[in-house]
Amino acid sequence: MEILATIWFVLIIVLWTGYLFLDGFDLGVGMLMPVLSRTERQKRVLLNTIGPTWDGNEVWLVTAAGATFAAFPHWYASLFSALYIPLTLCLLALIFRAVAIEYRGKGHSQAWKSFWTWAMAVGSAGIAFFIGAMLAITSSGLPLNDNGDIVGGAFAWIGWPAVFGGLGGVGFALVHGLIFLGLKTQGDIRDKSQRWARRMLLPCSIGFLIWFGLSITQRPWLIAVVVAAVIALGATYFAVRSGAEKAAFALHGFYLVLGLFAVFAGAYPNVLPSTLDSANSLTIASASSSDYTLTVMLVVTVICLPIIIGYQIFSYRMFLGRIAETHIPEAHRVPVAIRS
Amino acid sequence: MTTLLPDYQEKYGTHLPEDERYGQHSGEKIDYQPIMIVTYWGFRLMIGFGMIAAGVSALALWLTRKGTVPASAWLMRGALVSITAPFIANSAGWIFTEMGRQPFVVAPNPARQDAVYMFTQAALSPQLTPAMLLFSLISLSLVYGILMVVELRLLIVYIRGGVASAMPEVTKTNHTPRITNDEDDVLSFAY
Repeated sequence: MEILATIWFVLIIVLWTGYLFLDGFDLGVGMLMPVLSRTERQKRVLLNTIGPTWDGNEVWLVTAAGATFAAFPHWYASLFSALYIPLTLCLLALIFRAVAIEYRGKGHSQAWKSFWTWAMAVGSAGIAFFIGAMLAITSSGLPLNDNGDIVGGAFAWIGWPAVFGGLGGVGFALVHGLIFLGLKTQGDIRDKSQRWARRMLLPCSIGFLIWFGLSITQRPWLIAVVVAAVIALGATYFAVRSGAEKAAFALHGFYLVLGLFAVFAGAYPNVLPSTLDSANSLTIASASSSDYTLTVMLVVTVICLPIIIGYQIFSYRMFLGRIAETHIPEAHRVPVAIRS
Repeated sequence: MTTLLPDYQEKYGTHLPEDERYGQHSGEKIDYQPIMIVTYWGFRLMIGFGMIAAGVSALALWLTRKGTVPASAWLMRGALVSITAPFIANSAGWIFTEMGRQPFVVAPNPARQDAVYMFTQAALSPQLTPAMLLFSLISLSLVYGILMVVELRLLIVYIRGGVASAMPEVTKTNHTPRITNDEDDVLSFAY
């Protein structure tokens, strides 16, 4: 029976969906920092909307990658080795973005601030691009030989799925970030975010829509799910236009959930298809760990996941409420050294 | 060591298997002995400096328990030097683990029948080329090098700024009155 492997496949897709949903708005806010906000105080408003949550959200990425490694070691080995260069770049983007958040306020020159603001924006865009591209690639496949190794060198992963998935990831994060800012801020930034969200929603969704739509080629009945995703996206647009901020945020998330469901229900039972020969494709059966490992992991997950979700809900409730420019304290300056 | 060696040779072989997974290393004699001086001292440095870091932190908590900062110059110098302790402990511990487990990348778990283990020579992904490894090695070293310089400069700025730079609340003479109106309040921690 492959029931355990199927459960873990579903769990891993849930983790990747959770990551895209949660870190999606963090990445979007990061990308918007240099362009949406004019003054230094406005930039700090943007940064502080994600201040309490960005690192917790990033842990979903660690968990998703770690769970993939533990539950499907062959999937992880093939995919991560094949994407060695882009994932190294993604790692550099993750490092720069995290450091940018921590360092930005610790210097006071214009050059220092604008360097870290751009590090934040470029890092965020890089993460969104490479994670989006990676997920699209794992659903569409790579030229794998019978050992699960990629054929064609370090750049054989470049292709249309990487482009759709990557640009789709950036577009999704941008719109998600704008909708989130509409929920979390007051005044100018709130108005501007709503305006931008209305204009950018449809063009930014093209990449993911193509990726979601391709699932129909795998299983025709998924057209129902894709249509539902398109309806959710349309509803998001009308919610944004009518200023229903909470509904817009929820609907945009629902659109993501439906779309990813279509993609991975279409790929099932493949976790990483081979474009050379379907006999080389990695499936949930050929890529998974032993039943013993999967059982132990399941027990741990059943106990720990509710706790994690519980304290994440707690932290979001704790920091509920809008942030305005008046809430931002004066920048803390290091006193000039006193020589003794 | 002398009793363990024959045991390992019996269980896991004296030579690497003749298998393409081992590449040019297939059939090589296995050296089960890690570099003992690194293993021996790596562990002691990790624990020693880890204890120093924990001890200094506990001492600092105790000395600042009344919301004041001690003025002793020697204590200050000691505090400065102790910044290095967790870095040394971390690095020593990392080197100890990575080098101590050789020649295995996954050390065997002898408790179970189907002992899982993997020799380092078999661990390299066949799809990786030396150029790809060089790319990650150089780019990560470069980024960490740059960030180390930035971090050191920030540390120096904050150390020169004294206690007030890290803990403004300790040195503030008049406490700002508590604001009850939420609209006028500011974030107590902000990036």
